[in-house]
This record gives sequence, structure tokens and C-alpha cells, in this order.
Amino acid sequence: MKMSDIKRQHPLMIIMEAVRSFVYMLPPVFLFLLSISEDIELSAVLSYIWILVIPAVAFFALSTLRWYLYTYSYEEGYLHIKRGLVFKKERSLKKERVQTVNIRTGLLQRLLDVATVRIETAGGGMESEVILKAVKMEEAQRIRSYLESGPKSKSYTTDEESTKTTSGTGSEHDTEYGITASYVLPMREIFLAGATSGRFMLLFSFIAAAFSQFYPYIPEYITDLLIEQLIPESSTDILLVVIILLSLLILSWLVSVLAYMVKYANFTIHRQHEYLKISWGLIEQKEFTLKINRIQALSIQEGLFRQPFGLCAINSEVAGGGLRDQEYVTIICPLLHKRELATFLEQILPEYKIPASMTSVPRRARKRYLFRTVGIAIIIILPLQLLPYGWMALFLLLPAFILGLSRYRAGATSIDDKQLTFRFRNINRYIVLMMKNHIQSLESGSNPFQRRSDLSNISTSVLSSPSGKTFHVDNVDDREAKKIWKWFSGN
Amino acid sequence: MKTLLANEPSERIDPRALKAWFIGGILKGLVLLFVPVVYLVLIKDIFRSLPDIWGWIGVGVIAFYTIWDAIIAPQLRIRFWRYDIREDEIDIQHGIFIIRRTLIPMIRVQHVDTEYGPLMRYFGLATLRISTAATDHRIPALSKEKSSQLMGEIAALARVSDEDV
Repeated sequence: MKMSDIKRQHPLMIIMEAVRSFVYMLPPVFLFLLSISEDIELSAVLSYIWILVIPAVAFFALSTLRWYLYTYSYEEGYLHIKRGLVFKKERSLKKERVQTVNIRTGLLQRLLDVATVRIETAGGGMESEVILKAVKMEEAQRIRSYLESGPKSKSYTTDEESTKTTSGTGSEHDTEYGITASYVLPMREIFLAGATSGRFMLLFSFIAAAFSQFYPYIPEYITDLLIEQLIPESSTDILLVVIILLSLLILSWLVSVLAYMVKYANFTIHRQHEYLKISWGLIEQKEFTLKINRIQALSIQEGLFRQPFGLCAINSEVAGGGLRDQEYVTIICPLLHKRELATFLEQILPEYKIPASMTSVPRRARKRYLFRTVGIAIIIILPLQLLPYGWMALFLLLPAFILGLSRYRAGATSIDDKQLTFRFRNINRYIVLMMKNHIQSLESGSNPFQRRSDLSNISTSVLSSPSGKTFHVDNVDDREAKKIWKWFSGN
Repeated sequence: MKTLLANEPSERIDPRALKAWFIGGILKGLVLLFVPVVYLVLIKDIFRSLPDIWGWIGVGVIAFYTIWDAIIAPQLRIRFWRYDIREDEIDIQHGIFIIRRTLIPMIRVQHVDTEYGPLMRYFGLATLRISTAATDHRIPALSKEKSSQLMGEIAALARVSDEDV
């Protein structure tokens, strides 16, 4: 059988590995040169630069050897890998244990139609993943479809049956698993996502910090010229600062939008039976596959900059694997209009539904929400009154009040047959959808004041990549909390 | 008292816990007391300018804390700490001011441990620790027989399920 052939990776791996080792060697060498540069003329060192050829050749030879010794084969549900010269290492991966298979391609790789395949197994940590640095794209696809097919789907159907017998409501699922649908994010949406991502704030702080280091070196006549051009007949420093800050802000915003667009270009999500395939990227293309039942919760995030435009993003909490790429792995869709949300879920993730109506927290909870934010603001403001200009801190009260009020407005819960839905706000507003069989534990808590007005906080824990994740809605009406409790306990 | 549900879990933790917590609290208080005593006896004499008052305030705070930690808090804790282990779920209630109630479905339980320190062992008590894939829960101060019995029960009830992870 062709499958069982012993294979090697694409020879591009030799170059990739050699270059990588070589690049890793450079910083220490450079630092060494810096430390001795006082004693020796730099030109004298430069004339010996050809010496670098020796390690280059050595790395190349080593990488060739490594490439030659790294063999893999797949048969009978296992992926076998052999490598090592002195210490031989062998590993067999059972395909039932494989959690995700990610394929990504860099620029150089794309020219040669080669991809890196990362195979993650249950368990986390460095030892839990296998990386094939360079294999032909079609081979990468073949490995993936091999690891995700065959006996695995057979065992999955038996799983399905067993859950069916325990839950008793699996009939509609069978039709749902037959779905194939895909969604391509239009470039305009990606632009909007980048424009409203709020990432420019972080970038801005970097750029501003760099600029402040750089500023003294800008010749004075340039700044003077700038001022004259922009604000004639004025030489106030404050205006200059404002202008510089504004232009830096715009610059960092543009850069962040551009970076975002390059990173998430061609964002495509494809649903096929019980798998989700997500791919994105313009220069470096990434692709990963996710088994639906690894999704532990969906959270719909309405960012501060996005909510006014009726935009949201969909993230997911995923069990196991994806440590390094965690940030990306959890994104299901970077931007969506809220009105398209229901349709999107219906097509891609019909298991989850946006509830038609949610039960908001009762009106008597409002003062508790306000007390929380305004109270904290007052605690911050009071000691500041001792300082000069401390009264300016009083301006904090208004945002605190608004935040408390909008948290109160956001607080809501909903239950249906299998799904629990929370809506709440920290700074961004979230709607979190959870399946009953993914909730690890349910907790409700109340302090004496809450007990007096029949309110309680309700929280759930789900499994998520690094550790567990807890979602909570505060000051829920006791009757509602009781309903959720019964729903979770009602087996 | 109006908790979330009128029907609290029925099982309570072992009343011997009061003694263990009392002694533990006193011991902790004594250790803490070491700091202001050292201040009053040694440091104050080395630097003449430091007043006594801080040392006595320290002693006072620790005394209050110890009374709370060794006598009052355990009473409240034991009053509210309840649990129930049913066939398909574990129900735990605990707290002093903020009373929390937790529900863990049996199929989510990954493993159960018992653990005990020297003081707990002296009184024949143990803490039962129940872990799910995402969370950790404890039932403290159960009699040793009870805790190993519960551990067996939970282990038998908690079926290993791979379906969702």
C-alpha cells in the first residue's frame, strides 16, 4: 500500500533549517564582536568575515543529515516518525489522539508549493506536537485528511450513538452533521475589523515611546518648519505636541489597520461535517482544522469601538492544544455585522443559536451595578483630593456611572433545551453561548445584601486552552438563577 | 435565611473540624504574634526613637484576627458548609458572608483526592478534593472514614467520558 511508504520531507527543509541555525548563531557572535570592538579595528574583523562560511557549511551539512534521518510513514491509523543520529528517536502517533492538524506556509515555502504541518495531540506541552517543517502542499493535505478520516469517523459515530442513548435527543444532530458551508470574509469587512480593532492604542504607545527616544535627533529647523507650515503665527509648544501626538495616532492607526489586513486577508471558515477549517493570511498563510466538539463555548464580543457600528467578533474557547497559536485558534470570525450573526451561526455552527429573547437582570439590580463602579471610582478619587488638581479626578465619576449603567443593561441570561447563554459587559460586551454538556460546573453566590433583595451571581466554568475559563453574570434574579440551576441539574 | 434554593444540601461536615480550626487558628495567631513581639522587645530598643504604640497596635490586630479566625469564622463556616453527593451530581455550599453554591455533574469529575495535614490527621479528619477538567472543589474536614467512603462512591459514579474533550 502506498500509504505505508517511508517518506522524507521536502529538501527545502535543509535550507530552512540551515538558515535558521545560522540566524540563531548570529546574535551571540555579534555581541561578542561588540564586546571586543574596542580592542580591535572593525575593518580588521570584517576582512575575516569569510570565516562565517565555515559554520554555514557546517550547518548545511548538519541539516542535510537531519533531513536524511528524519523519516515518516503512516499506516494502519498510526503516524510513525524516526529521527536522530546518535540518539535515535521514534514516535508513533495514533490518529484518534490527534487533536488538530495545522498547515501553514511562509513566503519562501509558497514559491515552492511547500507547507509546514503541525500535528497536535492531546496533552499540551512541547512533546505533544509533531512538526513536519516542509512537505509538498498536496502531501500536507493528504497527511491531514489521513489523520482526520477513516476509523476516526467510525469511532465518532459510535460516540454519537452513545451520547444519543444518554441524552435521548440526538435525532436532529444527524442531519446537522451532514452540513458543508463556508464563509469568506470580504476584504471590506477585514478593513473594518482592523479599523475598529483598537490595537492601534498598543501600537501607538510603542511608536510614541520610540519617537520620544528619537525626537531629540530631529533637527530643530524641521520642527520649526512644521510649525510654521501648520500653524502660522504661533509658536506654542503645546500645539506642537498635540500635532505630533495626533499624527502619531493616525500613523499607528494606519499601520495597525494595514498589519491587520495583511494578517487576516482571505479569512475563510469552512464547515464540513464535524470539522471547522479556518484559514487566513496574505504573506504567511495559516490554516487549521478544529473538531466541533472541542469547542467549549462561543463568545460573541462587541468591542467598544465596534458596538456603535453594530459589529462583533466571534471567538471560541477550545479544549486542549494550540498553546502557541492560542490567540488565533480561538477566532471563529474576526468581524461580522450583528444582523448577520444568526445566519452565520445557522450555516457554520448550527449547534449554537442566538436566543430570541433573554431575561435581563431585574431593575433592583441597577443600584448594585452602579454602586460597584461608582464606589470603586470614589475610593480612587478620595485620596487624590489631597493632591493639587485632585478635583480633576472627579471627571472619573461620569464614565464610572455610565459603565455601571451599561453593565446593568447588558446583564442577561437565557436557557433553552441544551444551551445556556450569558450576556454581560466588562468593558466590551459579550454574549457567551455554552452547551450543557460542556459546562464543567455551575456556581451561584450571594452576599447578605444580595440575599436581602433576592439577587445572586451566577457563574459557569468551561474547559479552555491554558486552564479553565469562568463566565459570570452578576445580580441575577433568584427565580432566574433557580431556573438555571434546575436546568443544569435536571437529569 | 434566604439562600438561592430553599432546600440546602443535607450533609454537614464533621463537628470535630471546629477543634481543628480552633487549634490551627491559635497556632497561626502565635506565629503572627512573633512579629510585633520582636518589634517590642528588640527593634524598638535598637532604634530608640520608635514608639511602643505600633507594637501594641500589631498585637491588638492579631488578637482580633485570631479571635475571628479561630472562633467566629469556623462557627459560621461550619454552619453554612453543606454538601450532597447524588448519583449524577455533587452539590456543595460554602461561605461566610458570600455564600456560594456549586453544582458539579458527576460525568465531569476527572479525579478525586483526599488530603490532610498533621493537625487534621490528629483529629481523624481529611479534605476531599474533587477536580473537573477546568475547576477544583473541596469538601474540608470530613471524618477519614467518610472521606474515603465518598471518594470510592464518587470514583464509582464518575464515568470516564471522552465525548466532549
